[in-house]
Amino acid sequence: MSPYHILAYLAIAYYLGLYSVHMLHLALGYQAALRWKKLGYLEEAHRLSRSEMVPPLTLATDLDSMGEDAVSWVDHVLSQRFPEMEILAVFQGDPDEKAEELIETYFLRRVDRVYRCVLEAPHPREVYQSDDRRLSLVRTGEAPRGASLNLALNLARYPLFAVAGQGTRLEDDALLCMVRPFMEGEVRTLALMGVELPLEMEDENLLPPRRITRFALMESLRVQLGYMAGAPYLGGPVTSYSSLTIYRKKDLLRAGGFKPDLQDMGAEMDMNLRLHRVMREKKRPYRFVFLPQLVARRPFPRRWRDHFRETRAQRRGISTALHCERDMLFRARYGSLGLLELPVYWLFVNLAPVVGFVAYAVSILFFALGKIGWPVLAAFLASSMVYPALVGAGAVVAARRELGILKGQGVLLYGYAFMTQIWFRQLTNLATLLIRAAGKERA
Amino acid sequence: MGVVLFCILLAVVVFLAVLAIYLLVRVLQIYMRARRLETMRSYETIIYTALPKLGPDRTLENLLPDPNPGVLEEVLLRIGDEGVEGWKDKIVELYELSGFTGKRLRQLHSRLKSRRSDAARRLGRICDPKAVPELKELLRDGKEEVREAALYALGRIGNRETLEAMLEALDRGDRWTQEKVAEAVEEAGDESRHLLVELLRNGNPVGRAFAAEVMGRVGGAEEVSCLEEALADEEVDVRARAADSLGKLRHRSSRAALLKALEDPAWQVRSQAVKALGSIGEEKDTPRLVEALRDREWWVRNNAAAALREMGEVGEGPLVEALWDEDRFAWETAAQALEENSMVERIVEDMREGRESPEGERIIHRLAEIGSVGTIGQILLDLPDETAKARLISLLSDIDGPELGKAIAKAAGGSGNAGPQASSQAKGGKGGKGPGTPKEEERGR
Repeated sequence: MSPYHILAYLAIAYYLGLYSVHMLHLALGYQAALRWKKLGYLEEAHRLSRSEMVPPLTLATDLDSMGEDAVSWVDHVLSQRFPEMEILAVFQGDPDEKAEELIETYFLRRVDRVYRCVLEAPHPREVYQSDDRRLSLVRTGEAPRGASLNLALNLARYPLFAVAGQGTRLEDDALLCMVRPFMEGEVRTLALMGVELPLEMEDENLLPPRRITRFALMESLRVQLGYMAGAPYLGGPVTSYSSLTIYRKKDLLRAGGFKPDLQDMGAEMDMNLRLHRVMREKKRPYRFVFLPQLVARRPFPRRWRDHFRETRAQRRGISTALHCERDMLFRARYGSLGLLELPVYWLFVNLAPVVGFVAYAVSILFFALGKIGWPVLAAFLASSMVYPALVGAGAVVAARRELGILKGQGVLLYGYAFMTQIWFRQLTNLATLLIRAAGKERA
Repeated sequence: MGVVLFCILLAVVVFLAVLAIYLLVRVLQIYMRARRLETMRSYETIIYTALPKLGPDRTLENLLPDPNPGVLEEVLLRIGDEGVEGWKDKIVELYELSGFTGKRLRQLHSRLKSRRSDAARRLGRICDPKAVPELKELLRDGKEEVREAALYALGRIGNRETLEAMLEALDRGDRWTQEKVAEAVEEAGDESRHLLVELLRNGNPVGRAFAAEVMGRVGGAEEVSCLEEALADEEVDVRARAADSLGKLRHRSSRAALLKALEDPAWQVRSQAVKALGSIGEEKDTPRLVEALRDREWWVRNNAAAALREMGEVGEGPLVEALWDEDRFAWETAAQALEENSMVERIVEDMREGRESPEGERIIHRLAEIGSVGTIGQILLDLPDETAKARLISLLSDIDGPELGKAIAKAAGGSGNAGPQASSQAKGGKGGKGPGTPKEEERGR
């Protein structure tokens, strides 16, 4: 066997291995969905709205994350059926139109709030509060997201702490559905996320109107219903981000709060990794939960530029989190997470675009030079395109069965699922690689 | 070239074949679903019309001689879900006569956890009391999913025996189990009350804490004395929940016990006790609540302020007095409560209407003095009445503080009559409490 063949077979093995892991996660995610279904989850969740045993919740968000119409956002959240909750909206700089509108609409009164300062955080310059104390608007100076979240944590009155991301719109009863794992006591739930869909989807059974949004949705479904839903069964996910995440305040404080200097998704991704660390150091059983149920909608990319920006932000967040917690790598103290999952994840995040690009380049080049025959090339294309396409189709099947969505566009839907894995993913990876190189050059 | 063409052709053929199979499967699926729905509708019609007249055995014998078991069971379960009074026993009997009860009872011993939990849920949906002994055993199953299903089923059946079994299951101690048991207790009504009393007196710590909590929801005057006794329980959780429940029951007779609980070494108990006293709302208790404003624990102070606020006018006086307290904890918490209670707005409203209120002015002056200028600042900016604004500014003229200074300067600037005092304050007087009006606690942590 020539070295060219060995390299080509390695490329095939790489794709087979990579997508087998995706397939495994998808299968585990499906199992998770079945489990929730068997627990009678949806049927019983609505009864909680009348319960006094539901732990109260603080929902923290940035004023900018509420979108154009902050009042309707707040209205929507406050109309959620949840026994006891409060919204903490943090904004930076001077009160703008949005803040003024909220103050006027909800008759917010400026108060001198006495709070317990347990984490390093910027001082709130002003706190506005509604009479029923369900809405607080906090003005602070310029601060990274991590610091803002710490401030919200200091001000939070309730034991559960939810963080809503940019433009997130909660589904009806989302909080009520998400609270149950925190009430189950066998294994401690550290963080809980759920499925998010694009805001632009007018009908759950139809694809969103824009092509780029459709591709992004297909890829997102694979990540959500595969990696995020399945990884908890393998001790993960290593780190993750969702537009709506619920934590226990106590766990966040025990982990030392969010890293104050981290921006955007990095703060939450780092927190997830740190929660792993804390629990493993204390040798306590824990789990991250991904609820295979629609809990929120957020703006998905509408243009290629948005897509690349979002991908870059995600990768930067992951890299930051992994860099901050790099001392967990190869440490037996952190069990399989430190010895296997974290290194593999690190390699995957940093090298997958490069390896993917090289695998394609090498295989096509060798075929063009006549070093490998068409059966090997066909095998490579099958492993790098057809197999991933099957994974994509699997994600769609999972979405239809687990979430009951996208039932209106059969063939077109699978077409998008195939195409996403055949070229969209590859292009995104390649673009990330180029953007990173360009970024380094600029630096 | 030939090979390439062959491959393309093959790919097209494979694609078309897959598409054809997919379409065929979809058509079959739709057809089967439609048939199933049709059968279900016909079974429902038969059961609803014939069951009351013929009874279960004759309905089954004459009208449903050879039913589709899956469909019939689904129909019966759906009727069971509706839980219509008068139908329950007949549906249970029909379910049994159709052989489903026996089958599901056997499945409760299956090796597969999914089968055990599924069988338990079905028996629960049909509410068959005969399944209770086996469902009780299932509460000790090794699998969470199965225990969960058993709990659900017992809750649905809802008689005294199931309630007792569910209360025993509280050993697991998680909040979800407690939630399910509490639902069953509430549905059982009076029957459950003496079980709770028994549990509170003789149960394990988890059971006692649960009973103390749920008594606040279902209990009455008879349970008050039990809860008062529970305030002396050795477990903090039990004492705290008992105090909370006493607050919910609002019996004046429990004041003495709650006042005693204010001396409890555990802050959880003290914080619930102050809350409970606030709910009862007796004027005589306000001095003790003011005392609680000086507690070292934030939650106790917060709840004490909330309790005084909840008491309305009765609590407002002590809160005002607390502004002059020696303890910083006390005056800061009181200031927040008064601000939240719109005290400042009411005083300013009096000023606008020209009513003399030396006491009100004294309060505003004190609030500004201790640095609680958030509401005052906002009012200064929003106040349209120039006379009242000027009066307010002159009232605060002797107080230094950058935050207040800024607010006065803005207010005076807005009305075009910024006085020398205001402008000097706008430059930032020394000796103020710092820029952040919201205060963080630095002491005692």
